Amino acid sequence: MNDEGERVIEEYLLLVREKLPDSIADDVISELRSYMHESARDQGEGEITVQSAKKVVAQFGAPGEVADEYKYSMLPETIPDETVQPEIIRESQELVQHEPLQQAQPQLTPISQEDPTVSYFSFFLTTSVQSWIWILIASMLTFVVGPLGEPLWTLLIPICQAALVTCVLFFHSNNLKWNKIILWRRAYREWSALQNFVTLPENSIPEAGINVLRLDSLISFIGIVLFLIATLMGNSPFFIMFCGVPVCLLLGARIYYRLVTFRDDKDPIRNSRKQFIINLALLVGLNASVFWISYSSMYYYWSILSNLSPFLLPFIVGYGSVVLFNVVTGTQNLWWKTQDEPKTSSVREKEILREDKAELLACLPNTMGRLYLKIIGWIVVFNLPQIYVSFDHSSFDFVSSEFYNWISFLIVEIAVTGLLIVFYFPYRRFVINRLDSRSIFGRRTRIEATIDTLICSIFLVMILGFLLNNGIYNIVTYSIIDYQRHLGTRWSLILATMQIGAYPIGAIALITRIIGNIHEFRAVWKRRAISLVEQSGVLLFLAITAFAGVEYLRVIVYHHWFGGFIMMSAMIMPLIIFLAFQIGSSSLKGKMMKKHNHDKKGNSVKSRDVYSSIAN
Amino acid sequence: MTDEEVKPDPEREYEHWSLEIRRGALSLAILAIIIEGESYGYDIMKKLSREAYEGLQVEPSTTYPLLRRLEKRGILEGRWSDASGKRRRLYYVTRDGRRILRRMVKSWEGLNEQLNQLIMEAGLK
Repeated sequence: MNDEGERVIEEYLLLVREKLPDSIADDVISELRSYMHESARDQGEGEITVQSAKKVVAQFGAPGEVADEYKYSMLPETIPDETVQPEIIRESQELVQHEPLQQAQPQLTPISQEDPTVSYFSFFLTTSVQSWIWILIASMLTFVVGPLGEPLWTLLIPICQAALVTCVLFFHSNNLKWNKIILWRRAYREWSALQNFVTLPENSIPEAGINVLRLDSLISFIGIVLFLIATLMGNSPFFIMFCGVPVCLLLGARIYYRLVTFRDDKDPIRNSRKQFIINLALLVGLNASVFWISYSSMYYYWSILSNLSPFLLPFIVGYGSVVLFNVVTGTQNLWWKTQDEPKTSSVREKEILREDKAELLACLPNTMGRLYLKIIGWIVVFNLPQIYVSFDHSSFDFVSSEFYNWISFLIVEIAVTGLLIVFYFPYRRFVINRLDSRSIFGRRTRIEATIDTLICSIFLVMILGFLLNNGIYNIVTYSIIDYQRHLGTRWSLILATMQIGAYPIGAIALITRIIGNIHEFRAVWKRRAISLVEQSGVLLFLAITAFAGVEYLRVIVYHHWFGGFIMMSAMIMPLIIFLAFQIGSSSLKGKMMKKHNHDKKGNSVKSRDVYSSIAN
Repeated sequence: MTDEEVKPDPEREYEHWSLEIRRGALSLAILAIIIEGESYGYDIMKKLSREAYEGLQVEPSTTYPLLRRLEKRGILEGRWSDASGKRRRLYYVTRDGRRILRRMVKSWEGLNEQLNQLIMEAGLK
């Protein structure tokens, strides 16, 4: 090594050091020395010559300017304003005002270890163990919706999934080793032992690119098609209820969050908690469906599930492994806090908010009372045909169990609704008061609208399938005669009309609801969306009332006693209360919006604000 | 300063504009280099000095403080390493850094597209 060349560099560094504050001098000089030596050695063909050293020094320029650049970057608060250009002052002020991202989060103390890196084997071992722990948890959760292990071969599915993930992790850790990517340990004293265990080292898992996300969405879509076919054509009702519909919805949610990432990826882990729950639920749903596939193969003579199993099982194993991998890598994000944009509101806005809040809180009890009355009204509408049918069937005898069954059901429904309102009232009060909600009723989100559309589409397909499969023709030709034989001409005409009416009304209601859900996606259509949801609710309510009335009478006429009354009541009650609540709240919401819209003509800023808040 | 002393200097304006553009793009370029793993200053400078990235070449006196600024803002994290027998400060992109890089890329693409549109409309291309 040429000492002269090195001396040139050291002299230059000494000049830079003189201009730097002590707090950063050692660190900066060390970094500059490292760069200058390396660069000079390269330019001097392996040796630091005087020429190469001077060349490097010349590249840097005046020591004062280099020191200033460092000060602007590392200690902007130490720069006196008059010595700096205005744009640099502005930038420095921004740097001081906006806390650096790492300072916004609590200061963390690394767990002191001599080596701050993680070995590739340690990474492989930790993540593999985590994948086996998660598959065990997911398999245990399947006991709720479709227990794995019955028959024993179904246990192979989660074992295969975890083994696949282990293989992928093995190849991935080798790939990291091959590419010499250093894995930095992320373990801090302030974190719990669990968080330190599940947090993977920095650089270990690369972020999924757009193409990977697109491929994932495509595979999710294929999964939806497969499970939708199994759901719509399958003859295993438990599979439909526990796995078919939930898996379709969860795959849809997965695609939705992929789309969110495509469209607005300001923060890729903003929805990480929701995505983690979706992934875990999806893994449980996929694995539980294996139980129903094997079950339907054993107990159903001809099962679409068995026929689809050559497609479903590889999908469950393959895609389930991907989902398991996502669960393992996503666990660390459960503790992650995103930095939200600071909310700024002017004094005027705060004043409007306070006035709105007071107004909303003042009319809250009255609105809740009106909502309760509306719900009761619709519940009575639902119960009337059944009560009348029971009364008529028991020859207008007041002391009949059928009649009392329905009266007691009506009372129970009214009481349950009252209880729900009692809980809903303080909840909305809290939301308005503490969370600054600007409407009495919670607003419908796009996710709700999307899920609702999916459910409506499934039922619409079922109704259209019935109608196109000569459903009405069969009622007209066979059912009327049957009713006439058992109930006489008057009742046969009434029941046939109700039954024939229920299906088209139901189809119209579902179509209206889907259109209403589509309207939810634009703020300017919000009012129309509320109106359409209300109309569809009314139609759906009437269709269900007609359908339930006919079915109930048919059962008590044919069997004289309906043993499944309590079960049917329990099943139908949540739906009836939900629909009645939706009709009542949509109607009140629409009226409120209309009222505020009317006030807007008087150019009231406040009412305009309220209108927009309800609409949004 | 009188009007006579101010001489028109279009070349200077071009140089100023060119430097500003490069400085603006440098953060994005540095993050794009580091995102795949970790890197140190000399490695970054060497990559930027390649012919393919001629337009991004800036002095080390700009690059090094910029690395520190990115570190201070939590976009990069740096650690001293003696792994290769040489003492180097290695940098890697943090989670926040990845988020910011995504935004930078989107913003850059949008800007590029809009400028291209303007250039096309003006018949300059």
